[in-house]
Amino acid sequence: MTSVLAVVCEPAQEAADRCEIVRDADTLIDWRTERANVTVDLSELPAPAGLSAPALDLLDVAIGIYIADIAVMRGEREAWPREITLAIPVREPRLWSSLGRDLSRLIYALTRDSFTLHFYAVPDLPEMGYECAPAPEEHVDCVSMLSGGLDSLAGAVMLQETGRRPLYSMHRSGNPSVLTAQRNVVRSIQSHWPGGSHTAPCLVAPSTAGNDTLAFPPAEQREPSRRARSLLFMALATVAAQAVSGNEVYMCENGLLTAGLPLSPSRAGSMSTHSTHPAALNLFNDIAARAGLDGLVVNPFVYETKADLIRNVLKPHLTPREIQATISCWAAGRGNRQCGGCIPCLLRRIGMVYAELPEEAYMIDVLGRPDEYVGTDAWGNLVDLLRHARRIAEQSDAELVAEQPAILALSAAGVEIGEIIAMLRRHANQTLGVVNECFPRAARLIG
Amino acid sequence: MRELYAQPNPSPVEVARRIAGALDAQTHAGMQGPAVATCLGALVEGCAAIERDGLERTLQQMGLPPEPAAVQLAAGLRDRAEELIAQTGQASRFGDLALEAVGTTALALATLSDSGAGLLEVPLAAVEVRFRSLRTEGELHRMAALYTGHDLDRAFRYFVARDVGDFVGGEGLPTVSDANRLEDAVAAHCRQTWRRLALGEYEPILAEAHLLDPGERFEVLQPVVASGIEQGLEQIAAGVAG
Repeated sequence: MTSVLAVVCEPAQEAADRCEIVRDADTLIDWRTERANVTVDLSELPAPAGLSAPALDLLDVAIGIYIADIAVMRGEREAWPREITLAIPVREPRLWSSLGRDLSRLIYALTRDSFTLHFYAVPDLPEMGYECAPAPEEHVDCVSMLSGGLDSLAGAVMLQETGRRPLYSMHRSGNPSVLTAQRNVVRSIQSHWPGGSHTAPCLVAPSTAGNDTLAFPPAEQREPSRRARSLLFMALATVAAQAVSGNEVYMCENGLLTAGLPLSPSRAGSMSTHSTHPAALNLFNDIAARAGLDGLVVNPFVYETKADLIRNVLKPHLTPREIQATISCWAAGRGNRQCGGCIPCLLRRIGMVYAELPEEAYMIDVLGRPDEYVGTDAWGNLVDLLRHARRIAEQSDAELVAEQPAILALSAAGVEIGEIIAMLRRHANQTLGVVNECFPRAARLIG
Repeated sequence: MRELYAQPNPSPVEVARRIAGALDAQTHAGMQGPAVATCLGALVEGCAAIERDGLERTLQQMGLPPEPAAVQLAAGLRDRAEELIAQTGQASRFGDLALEAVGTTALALATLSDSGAGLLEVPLAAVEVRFRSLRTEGELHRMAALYTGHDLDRAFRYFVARDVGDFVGGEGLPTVSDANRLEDAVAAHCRQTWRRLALGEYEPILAEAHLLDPGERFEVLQPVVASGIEQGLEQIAAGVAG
């Protein structure tokens, strides 16, 4: 069943007169009128001379897609992909209609959903901008996204250590644990490289606190996977790049998660994150360029594992406390620690042990006491991680490509297959090595 | 079904047979859905392009380098299938799996091997000859059968992987390697169905399908996919696939 949503920037009836889809929409998305059900705060995004119409449109489109992604719940198993029709008002409808097919392709690459996009004109929209910040007083020469996680912090360390002066584009999290981690990483960067960077935290989130706001699904009916969020992050960072002297936009993520290879066949497609997949970055860069925006989103860590980043990039420059003040957990905020059972937690823990950093406390210890978690998601994650690592370790290069054909999508995106395979083998050796040495009960599963 | 995973040495043929027997009508329909037909369309389109322009130029048009030819062609065809699914709004879980099958089918065709062995070494000229001959020798229906076998391979990996994890560490599957071997054996058994699929009657449709707009092409190819999948599932359910 198709879910129909529409972004509006004027009273709903006026928008409905202008665009048929607004009239049919299950959910209206609004961050501009007094009935707004979305909060958008871009007040720290630098835009010294104001933003161009395509830049404003890119932000509106990315915000609309991000919120639509949250508003429509996925189903279980085969009902996971969604069909969504989304209408968005833009300043340059001809431009965006010409880009619509590529945007749908980008969204498909990120989410494995079918999005049908409609763009409509609103006469007053050109006057509706965002309150943005002046240009940073410090000289900045690139933009780098900062999430509060390990990999983006590694990106920051890499840039600072090579003498770059980044503007850190951040999406301020509504999750208190992630927000704390974001503040921690900014503090660490500023203490090690004082005055060498600038931060631009932004916020986009559903907001239904007012009495007269447009209806929006309550928190428990919102989709938690948020596969489209990296489109918003790329849009914010690329728009920020218009205000700095360099055009590189860094989106730093380790190679394993970047490759988007399913850890098991049951995780094919968007059951595995493709947030920083090279194909998605290529598609975004192409769309941004055709919209006339400078900026090239790149991920310098395509060929690095998370353990590599912790040991080779973070550990030489930051204290263990600073490194571990980051957050990786997909269930962050549900307890007072990271869960220990999701894939990012497992990779983080293995990476910390590999880098000989102190063990962290987690909610559960599925690596240390796996048999106590049989049948849980954490058990399934551990088994899939070990199955995947074992396969990589046992297979020849040709077998690896034939058995994990998602590697082909990397090749089509211009990634060097030999380097990717080398990264995968390093990941497998690190994972199996750490488990065999330090977690004997989990090691019994490897055989 | 699940009790098989708990017993020592679970039989891959029996695992596949029970899964096939348990699939409901909705799952059958999903396995034959538009995205699965669109993926076959990408393979058919690729064959026509290679016959018309040669492999090197086809790869060039896809924005890909010529070597390693088998990998690049498989990557390009998968990418094209992904583009068509996105364009036509056909996203589905079985479409995700069919995308994988496009890649493995192309590798198998390029290497003349079920598994794609040797895929990094096979020369461009050899890959070109193999893909050209599919049209010139009227063998597109065999390609469709091979694709169906690879699609069943990916689908049954998916079915097994959904459940098998809970049984790792038990008597039937003491280690993750045992689980991997079972999954591989089930997948190989299902892939082998391709040898017995009778899709010859669809050769004319397959030969002309590349001329159609992708939005119409999948409709023409859907009966081919439906026939292949149903024949394959029948064989698997009867335990005779391999």
